[in-house]
Amino acid sequence: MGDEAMSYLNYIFLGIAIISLLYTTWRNIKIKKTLKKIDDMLDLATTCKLSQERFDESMLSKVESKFNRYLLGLASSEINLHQQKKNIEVLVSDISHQIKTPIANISLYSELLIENPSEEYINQIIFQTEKLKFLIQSLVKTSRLENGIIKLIPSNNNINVIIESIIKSTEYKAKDKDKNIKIVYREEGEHMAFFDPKWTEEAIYNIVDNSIKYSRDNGEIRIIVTEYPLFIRIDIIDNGIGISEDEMTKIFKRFYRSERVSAIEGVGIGLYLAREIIQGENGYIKVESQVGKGSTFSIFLPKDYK
Amino acid sequence: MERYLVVIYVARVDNKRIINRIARASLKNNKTRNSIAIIAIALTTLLLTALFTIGFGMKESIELQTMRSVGTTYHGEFKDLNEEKYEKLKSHPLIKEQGYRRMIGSVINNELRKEHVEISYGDENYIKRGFAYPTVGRLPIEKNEIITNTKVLDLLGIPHKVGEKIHLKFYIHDTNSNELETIEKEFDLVGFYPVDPLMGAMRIFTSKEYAESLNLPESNINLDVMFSNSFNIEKKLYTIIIETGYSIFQQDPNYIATGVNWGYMAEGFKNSDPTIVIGGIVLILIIILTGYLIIYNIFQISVLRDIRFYGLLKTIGTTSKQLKKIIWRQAQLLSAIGIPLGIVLGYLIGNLLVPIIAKEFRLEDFISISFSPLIFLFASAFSLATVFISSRKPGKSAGKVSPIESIRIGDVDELKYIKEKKNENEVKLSKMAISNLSRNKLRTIIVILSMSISLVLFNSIYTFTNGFNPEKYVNRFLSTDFNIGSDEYFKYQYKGHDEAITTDIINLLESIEGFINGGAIYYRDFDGIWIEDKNILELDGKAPLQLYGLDDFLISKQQVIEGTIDMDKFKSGDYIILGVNDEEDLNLENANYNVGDKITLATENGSRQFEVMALITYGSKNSARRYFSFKLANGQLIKAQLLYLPSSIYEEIIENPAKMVYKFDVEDEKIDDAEKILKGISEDPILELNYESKQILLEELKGMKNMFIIVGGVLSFIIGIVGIINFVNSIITSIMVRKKEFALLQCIGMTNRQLNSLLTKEGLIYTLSTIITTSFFTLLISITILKSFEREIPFFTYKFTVFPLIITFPIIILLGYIVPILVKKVLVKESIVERIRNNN
Amino acid sequence: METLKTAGLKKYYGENKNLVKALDGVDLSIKQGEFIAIVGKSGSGKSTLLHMLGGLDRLTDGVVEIDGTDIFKLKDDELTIFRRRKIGFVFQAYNLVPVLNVYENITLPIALDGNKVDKAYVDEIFKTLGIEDKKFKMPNQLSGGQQQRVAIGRALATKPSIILADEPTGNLDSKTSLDVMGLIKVSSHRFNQTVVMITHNEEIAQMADRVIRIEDGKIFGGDICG
Repeated sequence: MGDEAMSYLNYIFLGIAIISLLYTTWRNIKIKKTLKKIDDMLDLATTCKLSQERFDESMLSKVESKFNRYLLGLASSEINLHQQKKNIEVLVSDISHQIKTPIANISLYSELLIENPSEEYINQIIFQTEKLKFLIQSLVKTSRLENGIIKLIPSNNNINVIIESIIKSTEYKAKDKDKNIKIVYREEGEHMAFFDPKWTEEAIYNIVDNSIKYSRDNGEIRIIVTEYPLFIRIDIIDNGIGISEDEMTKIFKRFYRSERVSAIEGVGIGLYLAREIIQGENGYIKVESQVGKGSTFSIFLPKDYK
Repeated sequence: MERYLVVIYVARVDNKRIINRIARASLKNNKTRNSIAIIAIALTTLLLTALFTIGFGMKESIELQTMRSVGTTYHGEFKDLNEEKYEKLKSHPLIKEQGYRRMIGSVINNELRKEHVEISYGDENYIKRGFAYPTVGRLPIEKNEIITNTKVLDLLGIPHKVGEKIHLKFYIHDTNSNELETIEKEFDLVGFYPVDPLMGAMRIFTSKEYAESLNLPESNINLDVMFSNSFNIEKKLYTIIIETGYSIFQQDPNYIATGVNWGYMAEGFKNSDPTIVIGGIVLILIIILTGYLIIYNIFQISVLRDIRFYGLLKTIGTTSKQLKKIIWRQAQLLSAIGIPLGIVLGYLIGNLLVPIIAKEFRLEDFISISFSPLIFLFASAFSLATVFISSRKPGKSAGKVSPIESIRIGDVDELKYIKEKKNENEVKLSKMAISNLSRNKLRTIIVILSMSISLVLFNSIYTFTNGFNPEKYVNRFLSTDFNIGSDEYFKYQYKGHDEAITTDIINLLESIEGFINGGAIYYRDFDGIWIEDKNILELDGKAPLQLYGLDDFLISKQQVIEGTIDMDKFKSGDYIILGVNDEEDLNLENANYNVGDKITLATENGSRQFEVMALITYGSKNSARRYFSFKLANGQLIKAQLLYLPSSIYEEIIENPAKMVYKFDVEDEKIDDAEKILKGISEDPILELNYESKQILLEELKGMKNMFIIVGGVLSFIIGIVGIINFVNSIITSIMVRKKEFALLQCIGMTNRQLNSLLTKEGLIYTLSTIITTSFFTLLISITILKSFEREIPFFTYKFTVFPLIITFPIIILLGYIVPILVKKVLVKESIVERIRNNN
Repeated sequence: METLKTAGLKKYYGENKNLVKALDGVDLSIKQGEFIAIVGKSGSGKSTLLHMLGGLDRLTDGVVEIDGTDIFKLKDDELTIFRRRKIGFVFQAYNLVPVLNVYENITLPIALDGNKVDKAYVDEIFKTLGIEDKKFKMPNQLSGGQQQRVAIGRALATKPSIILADEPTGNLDSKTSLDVMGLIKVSSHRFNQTVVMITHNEEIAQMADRVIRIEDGKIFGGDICG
């Protein structure tokens, strides 16, 4: 009897052992397969050619998807890094290019001044120095903004105050020389929006300044504020030279200067800075334009809808 | 669109015709919808027609067969009248038609000993309504003329021929069946009619002249009457009696006995069975509701689909009224096909079923298939009404369409949530399924209920059929396998020794192979014994009784109502058992004595006191089948008490005891052989014995059980079909209106499998809710109503069972699983893009 | 880095005489983070193009690659799973699931993929779209603009590679349209989303980084590459 029981037990243990073995083997194969798959994925990832092949409800597919997303992010940031490096190179060359002329000019006028002291040379030197100062200031601002040294601190503010301040500070430019540009703004009640007043003023100032620059003599710039359920819209409408459609998206790029306007002073950084600021406040800028008839810059600032 | 434009061009010419044209054009464009609508309409009509056909057919059949066994189609009868009463009653204005019958007596030719054959005179009206009008020959006129049925002729060995001589031996008896005079006479057969196997008693009718020539007791006239309708027959009979100045109370001297023909169901409904009427109405309502839901959904969906078309029609100047008419016209055109189709199919099914039911009920010879035009009329009317109600709201929706609105997206189940849903967890498919079902709560509930009803009904019917216990029923009449007695006994004419069972016969029976045990009941009519009861002064303190003796074997077979039978004590001779009427009711108040009471039996030779040990039921199984009562001068009736003693004691008291019947059990395997032997004995003309067999009685009841199964099955089936149709329709509707939503869900990443799983979950919620509801109501009904049947219905023993549910639940679950996926597969064929684009 | 690329995209309907070339060889390349508007008259094939990009319909010829995956090589259910992980849709008729509340609608694609909701991220979506107080509302309790904002939220929820918007403001009045467009623009910038939107409205199209014009199933003008 005892022997029989023992042999039964043996069989049971043997069975359990075989089943466990089979199961473990199966699991191992499965795990190996999965690992192989992940390994392949990594291989592909290193060559930046990863594309997902399996889309199903399995865990592996989900992991693959997430990994794929991560790698894509990595790759794109790598590309971004590369792009940035390139950008910096371009920036440096741009800056050197931008700085080269005023410095050359200053050195030229300085030499002339030594030879022949004249007030005109002094004025030229002052003008070139101002230009340099503005350039450097703008560069500092953008780089600080880009690197997050300066933070935009939006709060609920009245947009009218900003616009009036801008009109005051641009008036001398508008009335300057022969331009005689009229800035029209009709204040209609309070328009509250959610923005950082100091930087937003800078942004709108840059756009108004831009409009003044490219306006015809005796032109008119209208500023209109419209309320939307979610946004406040500030239209800056000029009847200047306008922007062609293919330029439309380029004007917000750093140091972009249209060839058509090479005669006009400018460094091509104002609009770039403006867009950076507005976007940083969860707003956006939209441009409509017809060459020869004028442009409309629409700034959308979010309202405090919280 | 082009097609519509053509139609619109015509629109300016003729207004009425154009509505027709548009309706037809729109019909042509919706072939699938049309088919579904026609099927729905036909189905509604079919179910209604079938229901009406079965209902009408069953009612007529049962009425007729009941009347045949009663022997007349008259609504009611005044019994035992004398000439004076007859003359006064017959002219009452409530009576629309009447028949006259004068009882003569019972025929006692030896050839007819196993049948109860009445001889009487009936006027032409009575005979016509009594299923006795001669099919060959004429009514008797001359003194020596008679008519009867073919069976009597066969038993007498007389050919079916007019002019044959018939020798009859009969006695005249009074209303209490007391023999007054025996007559033998030869008659001429002047007419005969086919035998009606359902008829209780055989009848021979003489001429009026002959009846009047006899010396008949005074009160033997029956007046049969017809009223304007069959409602409240009993009340009408009573009204006539009271208004004529007689009494309806038995103890009054001017009492008139009445009888209601219980063949009339209208009469039956009043007393007992509102459930059948209510059940029928509920069934009709369920069918109409189902039809409504299906047809309404079909039209509503198609209106929403064609909403732009209706918007366009409105833009060009069609009024709301005209749009409604267009929809109604479409519904009419579809009904014109659907209703006749349904009627034909329904009628066929109904008429196939009625005969089957009839056959199972052993009524096939008498079944009347109803060709009543009322069936078609009712079914069509109900169907059309259903279609009308169903198309009203869709018509309104079409009428309300504004040209601009028509471009917007419509949803059949427009959702109007008022409350917010405070959930901030990930959506689960199961929760989504529940939300989807609550889009149209009413529809969901109706579907669940209609499926549940059929299941509850199914289980109830099964429980009822399963508990159908013919033994219980038969035991009331026969507690042993066999019961053997004289022909006279079986004709309720047993009196004593002449008709008793002899010891030879008992020895013969006990020697039958397989004989287990048996015993005799001792009885003889005997005036020399009474109960001493000082209350009954009129009878000198002598209360009447019928005293029976029981062999041991039979003592144990009695059904005790109160007290217990202790064999030893009982046989000691100090105890007695009292019989209480079982077949009428078990009202103990009718018993004159109770357990523990003392009863003194007295004979001329002395008296002996007994104590009542128990009360048992008495009936045809343990009595002479004749009961006595004495009418006192004051009109009070004194019933003879039925008392039982052990046979040994019985023999001590009654001189010359006689064995009335012998009852015995046989081993199951030997029953057929025993049956043959008994049949042989009963056919022996010298022995004049007859017998009852439990097996034969049970056999006869089997048909009844089958009828229950079939009627119940058909009902469950119809309601089940209705439930399933509702379910499928609900799924179809919910999928049709969500085609676009499904496309959207697929866009944002719901796989087909997930979608199927969502739909399956919805289906399963339906079925699981059905299962829960069903289980609840099944239990409720089972332990309340069905259990109470046990007391009410003599052949029913309550046995709790959910067997049918256990069988059907998996099927239901399967349906809930498969139907939604199947419907989706059939209905959703367009690509995602097509569905997203379609704004319907 | 290219998020979406098509080559020789063709979609023909019908046969022989009735042959309609809805798309007749479209080559596109869209970079990550771009906001593209596809403009064309009705019947120009722009809707078909969008459906093809989203893998909603099978194409006649050509290739659509999203994040390097040729989507038409996938089986139906694979494609659906691909969609819920990689593509967000915004339709003209908001197309919310009527029985789910706003929160459930937005997180539905996440739930379908069997993932846990990244609460912080979803909260940010709610904040950006200004629907924080509408979380528990049912779709029928919202205005058209609000419903469309929820739809945008749903498209953003899975952090897809690309959002495809089919006339997202087609059912809205012009003021609400600008608002909703503003939100698409702001949120696409904020969450660095690639957006391809079709519209016939020039003003709306101007908000895009790049406008692609389509006519008779062919790309017409505008830069093909950004």
